[in-house]
Amino acid sequence: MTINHFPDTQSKVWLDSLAVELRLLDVSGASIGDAVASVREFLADSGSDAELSFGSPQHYAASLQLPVRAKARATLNGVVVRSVLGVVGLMGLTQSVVPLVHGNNVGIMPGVLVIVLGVIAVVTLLPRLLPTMTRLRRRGWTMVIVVGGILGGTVPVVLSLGAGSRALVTIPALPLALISALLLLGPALWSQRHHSFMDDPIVEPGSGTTEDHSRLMVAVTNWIMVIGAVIVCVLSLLLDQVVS
Amino acid sequence: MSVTAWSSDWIRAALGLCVLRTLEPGPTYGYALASALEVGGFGAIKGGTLYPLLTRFELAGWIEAEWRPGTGGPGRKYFALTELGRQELDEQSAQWQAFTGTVQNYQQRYETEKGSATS
Repeated sequence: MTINHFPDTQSKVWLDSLAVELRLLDVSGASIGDAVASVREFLADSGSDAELSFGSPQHYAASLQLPVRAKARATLNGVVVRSVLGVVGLMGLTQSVVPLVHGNNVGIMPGVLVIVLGVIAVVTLLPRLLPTMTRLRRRGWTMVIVVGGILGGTVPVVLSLGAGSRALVTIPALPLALISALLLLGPALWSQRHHSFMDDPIVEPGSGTTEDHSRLMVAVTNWIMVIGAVIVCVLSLLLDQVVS
Repeated sequence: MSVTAWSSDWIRAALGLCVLRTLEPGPTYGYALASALEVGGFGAIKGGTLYPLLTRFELAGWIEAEWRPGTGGPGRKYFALTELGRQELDEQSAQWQAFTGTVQNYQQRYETEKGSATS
């Protein structure tokens, strides 16, 4: 008896979600490929619906209790360190972009320092938020707009509240912008290099690799800080033009 | 023929032993296992119940899996009992016999006492 290996669209979405859930649990690519192919085989044989037969992808992935990769904890700590560097770079770049255009120095206000420390605190919680963010990937553009809106809206408001305060320190805009850009791009490039599409790919049992959407998601999250910085810089420059 | 809807707790307790027993004659794949259990009177066993159990048995070394090639894909994953799995099956089978015997004796004792009291 031959098996139909081409599941319907609904089952394909379910199988993609299962791959993402197992990736979030730090299961190896080979084990993910095996688990996905097993479900595909059962669905093809039984003709049943994935959700009815296996429940939610999140619950099923957890119920398999597959072994996790050995370097999972170190990877998580690396993400936190790179994210903190990225945040410092993002804040430095957004603070220096307008003074750079006008040829002024950057005054680091107390409000800015408070924001940087606050954002760093949030970023250290990022690995815990990442699964939720990944599960909301189908609303990716909504997330980008919301995050961009929060950064582009809240930061200028908080900064304006401390506008009357004296600057703690004054720094030339160009070096600050260059160092910030380095801090921003460095972690993104490092992550891209070390977490490429060839890094532990999902392997179809008995053959080569499969198309892996979960790795694409990882690639997108690598660059989310850079995307955020570009949005905030553009908004800051537009705001500056409106004000002047 | 009507199929008895067994308590899910009972199914969960007996499923592992029955899966090992189904694999005793020789290797088979997921859906064939589920079908054999359904024909045996357990009702429809969902993939979400069966595969985590098979994964656990594989990690315990009681069964081993092998992908057999099919047309246009990886084919089917066949599960086979290992020597350790056969030992486990014998052990669990003996324990299950003893347990069901205990339950049966316990019930009969009270049935007998109830019969004596009413007569």
